[in-house]
Amino acid sequence: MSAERTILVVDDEVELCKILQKVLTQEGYRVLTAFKGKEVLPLLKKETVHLLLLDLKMPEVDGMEVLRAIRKKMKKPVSVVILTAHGSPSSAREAMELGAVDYLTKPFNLQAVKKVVREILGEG
Amino acid sequence: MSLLDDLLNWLREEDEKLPREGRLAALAGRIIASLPFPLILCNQDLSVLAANRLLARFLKRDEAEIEGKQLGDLLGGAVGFLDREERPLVDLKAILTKRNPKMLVGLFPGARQKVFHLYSRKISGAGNKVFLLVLQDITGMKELEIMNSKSRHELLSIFDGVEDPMVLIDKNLRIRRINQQMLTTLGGKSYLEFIGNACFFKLHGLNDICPGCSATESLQSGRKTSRTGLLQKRPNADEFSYQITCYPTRDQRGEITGVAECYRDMTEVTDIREALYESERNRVMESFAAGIAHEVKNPLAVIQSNAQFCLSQMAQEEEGDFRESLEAIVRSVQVANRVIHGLMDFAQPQEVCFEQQALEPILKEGLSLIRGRAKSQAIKLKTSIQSGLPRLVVDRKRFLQAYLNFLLNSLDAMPKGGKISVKASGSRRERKVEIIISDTGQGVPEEVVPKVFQPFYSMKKDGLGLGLPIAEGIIRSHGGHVTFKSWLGMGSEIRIDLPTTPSLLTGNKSS
Repeated sequence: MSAERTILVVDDEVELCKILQKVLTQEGYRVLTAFKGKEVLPLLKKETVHLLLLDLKMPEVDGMEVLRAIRKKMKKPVSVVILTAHGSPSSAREAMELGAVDYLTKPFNLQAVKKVVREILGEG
Repeated sequence: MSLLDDLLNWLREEDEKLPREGRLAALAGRIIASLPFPLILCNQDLSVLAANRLLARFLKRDEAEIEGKQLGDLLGGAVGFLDREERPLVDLKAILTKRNPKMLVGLFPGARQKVFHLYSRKISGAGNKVFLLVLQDITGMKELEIMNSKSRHELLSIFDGVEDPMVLIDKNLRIRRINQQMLTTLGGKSYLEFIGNACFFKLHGLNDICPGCSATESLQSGRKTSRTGLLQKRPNADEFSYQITCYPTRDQRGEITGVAECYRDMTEVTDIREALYESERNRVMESFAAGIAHEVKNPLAVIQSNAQFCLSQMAQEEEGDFRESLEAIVRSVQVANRVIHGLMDFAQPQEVCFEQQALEPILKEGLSLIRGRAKSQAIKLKTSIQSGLPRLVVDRKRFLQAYLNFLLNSLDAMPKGGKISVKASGSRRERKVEIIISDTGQGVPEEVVPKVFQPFYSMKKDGLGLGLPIAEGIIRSHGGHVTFKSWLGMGSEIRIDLPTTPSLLTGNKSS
C-alpha cells in the first residue's frame, strides 16, 4: 500500500459528505470533510491534502471563490475535482481555468467518483 | 368706425352752435350723459377733462373724482397699451397722436382684467386740443378672435403640425378643435363633424365619460395627467395603444378653460415592453428551474450514492430482494434526474442566433424606439458614433434587447427630463467596440452600484429588478463586459465593452 493519501470533501450537504467519506475511506483513503467554503483554506494549511472534492454552490464562500483563494494563497498545488448540481459548460470552463482538474455533476455515479479519484491519486 | 365718425361729426356741429367759452363743458356734459361706451375726454397733456359713468364704473370711482387726473394715473392698473402690431406703446401720448385704433390690455383696480380696443380722435380745433378716447370692451370675445390673423394662423399651424393626434376640449368635455393628425387618424372628412360633440362619443365611441378619464382629472387638479388607452373610433383601434396626456388650458386670468389632449402612439414601445416582460418571465423561469435543480439534485445525489454504496456492500449472489429495492432506488433517481433536465431545457432561453452585423443601425434603431417616450419626458437624445465601426458578431434581437434595457433604465432615471448620450467607438485591429450610454438622471447611491446587476434588485417602486441583469447577461453571452458607474443626483453611465467576435464562438469549448 502506498503512503496514505488524503482527500478533503467540501459540500454544504452534510449527507453527501458522509457518504463520500464512507465510500472513499473504504477505498483506502483518509477522508476529511468540511461543510463551508471558508473552512477549506485553514484545513489545507493544517493538513496535507492531496485531493479536494469541492461543491460549487455553497452559502457565503462558494466553490469558485475557494478555487481562487487556493490559486492565490497556496504554495503547494492541490488537485481539485468539482462536484456540482449546477452543471453548465460555462461554470465548468471557469472552474477549469481556475485550476480544477475534473468536473462531475450531481447526482453522480459512485463508480465515476471512485474512478476519477483513482486516476488522480492512484489506488488508496 | 362709421359710428364713431358720425358721432364726432354730430359733436362738432353741436359745438359750433355754442359760444366759445361754454363749448367744452357742454360737449363734455353731452358725451358723458348719452353714450353707451366708456369714454374719456382729455387734453393734449393727458389731463382728464371728463369721463362718463360707464368708465367710472369700470374704474370703481366717482365720476367727479376722475376730473383733472392724469390719464396714466387714472388707468394706473393698466398693464399696457399696444399698437396694432401688438407692440407696447411706451409713450402714452402716442395714443392721442396715432390715428389707428389701439388695443389696450388693462387690469383696472378692483376690476377683472379687461381687453379693450381704444379709439382716439382729436375733436377740437388747433390751439386747444381735446381728445376723445372711446373704449370698446372686447374681453368677451374668444381668444383666437382677439389675436390678429397672423398669430392665429401661427397657432393653428403649430397645432395642426403636431405629429401626434391632438384635441382641444372645453370644461364640459365638448370638442373645441381637433388637429389635422387627429382628423386623418380618425378618417374624418371635416373638423365640423367633431366640434361641439362630446369627446367620449366622437373619439371613444362611448355614451358616457370614459372610465379613468384623465381630462376630468386635469380639469379638477389643474395639472398634467396621463393614462394609456385606445382611440376606439380610429380604424383597427385594438391594434394601437396610446399614451393620452392632458394639459389644462387657461385663460389670461389663469382660470382653466379646458384641456389639450395629446395621443402618443405607444404601440411599438408597448410591444417591446411586452417582449421584455416575456423575456424577464423566461429569466425567472430559468432561475426558478436552476434553483429547483440545485435543491433537488443534492438530495438525489445523497440517495443515489447511498443506494450504490449499499449495493456495493452486498455479496453478488445474496439478498436478492434488498438488491432489487436498491437498484429500483438508483433507477428512480435517474428518472427524476431526467425530469429535472427536461425542466431546465424548457426554461432555457431560446436559441441564440449570431450573425455579423453593423452596429450603427442597431444603435439607431434602439434610439428610434424610445424617441416617443423620450420626447414625452423632455429627454434629449444625443449620439456620437465613430464612422467605420468594425462589424460585430451578435445575436441582433438579443443585443437590441439588452441595449433597450439600458436605455429604458436611463429613461426611468429621468422623470423630469434630461439627456441621454450614446457614444460608440471601436478598433478593427484590436477587434473590440466600446459603447457608452450616459444619462443626466438621478443616479444611485454608491452602495447600490455593485447591486444593479443582481436579479430582483430594484430601486424603483414597481421595478422587477430584472432589466439590467438580463441586459448584462446578454452582453456577457456575447463575450462582452458591462461597467456601471453612477454619480448621485448627476447621472449614470453604462459602458459596454464588446469583442467583435465572442470568444465563446472561437475559443475552446469545455465540457
